[in-house]
Amino acid sequence: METNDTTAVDNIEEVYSKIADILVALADVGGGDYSVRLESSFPESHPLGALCAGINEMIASLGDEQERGEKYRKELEDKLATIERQREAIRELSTPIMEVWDKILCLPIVGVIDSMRSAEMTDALLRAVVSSGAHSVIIDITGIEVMDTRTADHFVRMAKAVGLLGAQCVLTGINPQIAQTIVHMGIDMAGVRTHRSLRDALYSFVRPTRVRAANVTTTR
Amino acid sequence: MEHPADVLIAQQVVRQGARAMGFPRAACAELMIVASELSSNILKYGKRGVLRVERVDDPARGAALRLVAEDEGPPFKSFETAQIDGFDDEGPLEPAELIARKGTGSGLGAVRRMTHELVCEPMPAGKAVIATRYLVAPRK
Repeated sequence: METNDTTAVDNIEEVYSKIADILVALADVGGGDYSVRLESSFPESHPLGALCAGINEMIASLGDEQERGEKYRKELEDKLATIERQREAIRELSTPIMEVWDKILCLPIVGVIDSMRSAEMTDALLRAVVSSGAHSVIIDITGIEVMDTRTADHFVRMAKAVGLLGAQCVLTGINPQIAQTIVHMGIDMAGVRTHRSLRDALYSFVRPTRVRAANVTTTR
Repeated sequence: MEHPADVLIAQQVVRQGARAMGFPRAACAELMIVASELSSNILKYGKRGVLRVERVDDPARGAALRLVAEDEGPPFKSFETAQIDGFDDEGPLEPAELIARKGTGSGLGAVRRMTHELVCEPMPAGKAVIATRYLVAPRK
């Protein structure tokens, strides 16, 4: 009887200390440490032994899950970063403004042109004219099939705004449909030059300077 | 619609749909403009939304491509006013306001010009702008 009692008390103490161990381990797991494992003197047939084994298994699978989640999170972050870069690229591609010749800017427009894009383009082009000190701008719309009437009007206004900045602006590559749109709208094209193609426009800008250069050499 | 690139995706989806339905080239290009105007509006003002592209077959008017722009933004004060070039749903926009909004105030006007029907319907959380273009222009 007596011996039985002492084993029971021993057991109780052992049980308490085991529970304390379990709580400490769970606190570690809660804090993000998945490497802890419970060591148990109880056999697996004992309820506490089974509990310890169960908890160990749980911690292990939690750790795996955490690791996988971490991997996914990293992948996702990488993808988001890629998207952000692509977004930047798209924005830049939508208004490529390049200096094709000394002080001559060219804005080749391709794709679909809507009200937002045309407004962004105006903004970007006017800034570029000022920052580059360009004397001429060629807006090439060969790549545009259809344009809303209001957008066509906006383009002509954009050309005039470039004129206000002291540079001359030429529209090239207007297709028959857009030409009709412009005429139907009754848009005032005064002060806006047009050329059949980008090549013609560039030629008209470049040739006078060449001739001048040639004259200079002959008079010398 | 969450991202500026989604506008480009919407354009491609609409082009494929319009081509498959047999719309002429120029009409396909116009429908792509409609898709970008509607999707930019979702991104700019609608907070969150989707653009649905569907084919409808009207017994009287025939086949049509319908673009439904659903968003969770506030309703239009006046849908008619919003369709006027250079106006939003409340009235004319100042030039500075247009620059700030990166637009010309003519997006919905362009949609109206390039489609045959344009309506706005209230939704449980937001609104739907529905633009329909028939394969064969209906007689007025």
